[in-house]
Amino acid sequence: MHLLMILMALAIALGFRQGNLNGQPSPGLSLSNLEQRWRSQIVALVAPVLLLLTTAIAVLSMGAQGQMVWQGTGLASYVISWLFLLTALGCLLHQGLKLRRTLAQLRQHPKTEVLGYPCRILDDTALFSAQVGGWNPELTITQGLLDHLDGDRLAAVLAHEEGHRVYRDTFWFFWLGICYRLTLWLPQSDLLWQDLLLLREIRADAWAAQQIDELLLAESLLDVVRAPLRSTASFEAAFSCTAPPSRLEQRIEALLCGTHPGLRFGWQGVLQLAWVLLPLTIIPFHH
Amino acid sequence: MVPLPDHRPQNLSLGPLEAEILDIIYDLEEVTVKDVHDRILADPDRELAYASVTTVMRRLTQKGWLDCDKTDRAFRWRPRISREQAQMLKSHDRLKHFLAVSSPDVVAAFADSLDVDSLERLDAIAQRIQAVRRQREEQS
Repeated sequence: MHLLMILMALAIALGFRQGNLNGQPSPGLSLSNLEQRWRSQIVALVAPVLLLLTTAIAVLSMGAQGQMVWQGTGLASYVISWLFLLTALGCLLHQGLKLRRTLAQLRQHPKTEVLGYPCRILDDTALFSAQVGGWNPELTITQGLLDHLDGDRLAAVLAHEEGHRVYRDTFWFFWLGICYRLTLWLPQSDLLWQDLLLLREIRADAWAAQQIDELLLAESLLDVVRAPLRSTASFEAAFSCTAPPSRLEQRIEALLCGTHPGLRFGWQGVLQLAWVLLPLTIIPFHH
Repeated sequence: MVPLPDHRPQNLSLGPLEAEILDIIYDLEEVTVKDVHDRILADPDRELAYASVTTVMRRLTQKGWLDCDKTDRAFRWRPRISREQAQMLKSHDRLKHFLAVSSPDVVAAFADSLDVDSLERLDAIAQRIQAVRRQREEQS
């Protein structure tokens, strides 16, 4: 019975992802479109993991003993549930340690203030800026970026990074990243992950556009991407003219069309996720 | 900024003597082993066998840093990438190494490899931005 429960959860997780593929939200850049896309992609990424977690917890709390047709099934479901929970825990630990190592490495670099933002400077000629960390990320800029961009463009880049900080992107994407890694074997994981990364950038761009001129931000973005210090491998993977709009094009288009999405997950999103708790409701009925 | 070169030495890390000799070659642009050896021995405190210089320069050629012109009786060596390009490659590598230990979940970058586009597309995007800017200037 418990094994059946696990198989059902697996089938639902698989069906849910496949269903999400068929009902992909339209890629348009209108505000309501973006909001809906954000919510549905998060639900599609997170729901299968939560469903499998609640199923595993339900199976474990019911124990290997109980009424079932064949005793061996109980043990198998018990082991599978433990394996899934341990894998999830291992993934969490691994990502947590990786983050800690990155931060420790980053903190060896001097901390200073650029245009009023506290940040770490990497002594590097590459053009690079990022928020690195979890809930309280560290703004990281290379010397190359400081040398290359004039004051206004630098302000645009830093405003974008501040957007990431305001929305706590690094914190939420730490958890989303764990869901992504735990469901790599399910269809669409990569597509969902890339789309969420794009939407996160569009949101940070939009936040920056409220502080500074969006055209200036678009120009800074193009400037940084155009700068020659790019991995040559990426250049080789050139797109043909008929390829779907690239990530950069979508970001610039979203900036120029003036929609400023805040992309809230909100209660509506939480309600869309509530069904994953169903396996836990079975526990009281177990004898 | 200097673009990344098409050629990339197989091994970017260099030993102290390799780095010193490469530096001399960058200064002189095209050299024979004798040129390099003379330059090092110009310092009265230094001692270095001619054969050692040859070995190091052969190693630099194997690593992809130098080209050797064997048409003349005295072999002539020249760097395959410029000093600036070498610096760029090293810096690129360092950054990639830094980013390799992290991932997009905890590194929210302004622009990353996902934003890299083909050159034609970049031109098209630049034109689009310019058009909007022109339009705005005409309106004001």
